[in-house]
Amino acid sequence: MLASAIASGVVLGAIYALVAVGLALIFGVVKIINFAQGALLTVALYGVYLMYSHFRIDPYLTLPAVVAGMAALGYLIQTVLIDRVLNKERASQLLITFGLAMALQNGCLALFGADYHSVNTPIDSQVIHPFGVAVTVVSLVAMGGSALSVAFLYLFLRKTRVGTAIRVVAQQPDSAELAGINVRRMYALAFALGCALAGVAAVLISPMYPIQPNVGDTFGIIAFIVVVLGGLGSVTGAAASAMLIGIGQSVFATMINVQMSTAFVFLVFIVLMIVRPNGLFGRTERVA
Amino acid sequence: MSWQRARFSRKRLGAALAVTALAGTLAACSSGSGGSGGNAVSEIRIGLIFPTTGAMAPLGVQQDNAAKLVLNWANAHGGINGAKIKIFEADSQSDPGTGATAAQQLIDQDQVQILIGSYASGIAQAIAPVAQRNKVVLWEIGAVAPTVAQPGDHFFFRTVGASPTYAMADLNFLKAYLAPKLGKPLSQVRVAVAHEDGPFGTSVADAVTTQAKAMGVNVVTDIAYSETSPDLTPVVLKLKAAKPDVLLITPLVASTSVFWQNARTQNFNVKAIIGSAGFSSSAFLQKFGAKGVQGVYDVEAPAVANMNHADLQPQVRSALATLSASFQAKYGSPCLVHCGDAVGGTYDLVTYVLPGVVKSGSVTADSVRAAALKVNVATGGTPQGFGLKLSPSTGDNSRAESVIMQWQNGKLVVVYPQALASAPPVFPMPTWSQR
Repeated sequence: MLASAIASGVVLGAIYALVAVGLALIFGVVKIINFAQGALLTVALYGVYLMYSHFRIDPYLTLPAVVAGMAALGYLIQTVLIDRVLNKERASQLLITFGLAMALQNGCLALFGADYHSVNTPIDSQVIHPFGVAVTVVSLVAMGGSALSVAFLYLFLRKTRVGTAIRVVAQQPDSAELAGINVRRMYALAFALGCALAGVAAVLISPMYPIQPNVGDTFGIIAFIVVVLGGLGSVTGAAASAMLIGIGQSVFATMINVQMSTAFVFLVFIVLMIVRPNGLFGRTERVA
Repeated sequence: MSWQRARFSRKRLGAALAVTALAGTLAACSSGSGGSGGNAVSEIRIGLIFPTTGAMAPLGVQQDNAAKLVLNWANAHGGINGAKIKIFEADSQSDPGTGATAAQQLIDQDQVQILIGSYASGIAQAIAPVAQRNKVVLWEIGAVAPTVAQPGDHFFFRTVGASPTYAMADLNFLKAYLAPKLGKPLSQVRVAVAHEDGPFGTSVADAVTTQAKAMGVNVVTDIAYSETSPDLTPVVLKLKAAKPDVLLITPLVASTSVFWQNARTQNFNVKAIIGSAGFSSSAFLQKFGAKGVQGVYDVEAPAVANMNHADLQPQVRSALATLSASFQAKYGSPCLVHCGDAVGGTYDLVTYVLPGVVKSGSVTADSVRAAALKVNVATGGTPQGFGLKLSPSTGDNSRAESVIMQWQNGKLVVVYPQALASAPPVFPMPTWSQR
């Protein structure tokens, strides 16, 4: 039972990480708390559903289109909305992303209605038993996708010129500007990348969850916990804290009490924030 | 508790006459007679308050649409003794606080005289005090927790069966059908209970465990979980460890899909599962297909489109056929459980209560209450098959019943009690390897 609980916790952690790393990147670079990350996940899920229901495309094959669409949407959001409030009060920034979340969520409701939709893949019902624990193949795909996404992001930020420029902008935007880096463009790229990651998350979790206008809420809230616990802006910290939360929640629920498991996560979070205010994995405001 | 059909009695005769009288009045009004002489009521302002956005919207919208359909149907037939129903709508946004505010707005701004709601017990709990404080009747057609209204709230009426009727249907079915099929005496059947931890799931689970204890049924585990949990593997693992013969589970829509996927992954098999709410939703069928949901039971008020209509009174049968067909044509889905709740409850209001209110000459909470308490409809007199007799102390319909349904070949059919059954139950439920 413990092994099964750990396995399901790892899957859950991988899903949390998928949603949270995009949020961590956006905060780390643009320094804005994006309340719309959950709603963006919802939009991406509807993108998967649209292609699945209209063109009978397997959800996994929608990945390129959904990621490209979400990246474009992210770029647009940054340049049209966020850019205008970057030098304004923090409250304006928070409220604009909150308003965006409401607009996206209610837009989905208006376009698609309140019904729950679902997408299926041929591997939907396949279960394998590594080390004696039952895991669905779609969960394994989500875990693999999550690991690849985090690794890709880490390498992109560390090993490419654009990634390095993004990190420079994250750490010293004024110096970056003096060095000739187009800071606004880097912000837009980071936001686009963060939204693209929400697109990846949507594709990978689409066979696992019913799609409706509020589906992003649960993940959006937990993503904040993950990001703060990992150290605001730290992508690798977010991935690691996602795993800790996923496994902790699942083991506590299985071995102690299901109903108290979410409260347990939040209690641990509060305690850790008191002990380590900058998160489990180091200082604030860094990426990768 | 009796599931038997009532014999043709004075009560039934009275109900039939009431329906006939209403039909006659509606016909007279539609021909432009203007209603009965001395009628001071020309308009009845009714507020519909349901969660049409938010997590509860899929079924909340169904109830809102179905209630509207019945009110418009009544208007199309000349209104209530000549009085037209004016409909106002508000969205509780799946949130109790918003529901309370929206109810107050309906009362203040639109001056509604009756509220129809609320789909969910948690929301109804917030709306009921607002209605009571403002002396407006809350006509509840969906929420089932017994604690929705405060004791002494005289302006709360509920047509659908409260959660003890779910427990009663579960345990009667267990005793009459499942235990013999399992080849065990009732006391040796291992029953597991799981439920979402809101007012709905908790009230049903509490009723089940209390009644099970009284009947000597062995409840081996009782697990509460959050409806918004993204993973219910821990619940499945605990249930599996308890080795139940039968699982009684009360989720809402979102967690149903997650639970069923996790049950499949963990190869959790029991001889029978009786679910509720999410288990009767079209989303459940859509996600898992006819084979994936085959044999799963559901306890609720009946899916009116798939129940036996033979024992309904002729006028009710005819109205239900019209309303079901209109719902299907307009919204593209059959009128199942939640649509049935709204069709039944709203039909009861416009057919049995409002004529008395109009006759009284004024639409007030007191006149609605007085008319509601006079209603005495026998079994077969409402679209949901049961009767209508509202309690003066709790406002509950003492004749409301819940039924057992089962997914059979992609259709949710009523299987118990026999009088409303449109198909016999199938046992045992297929295992995951057979799906």
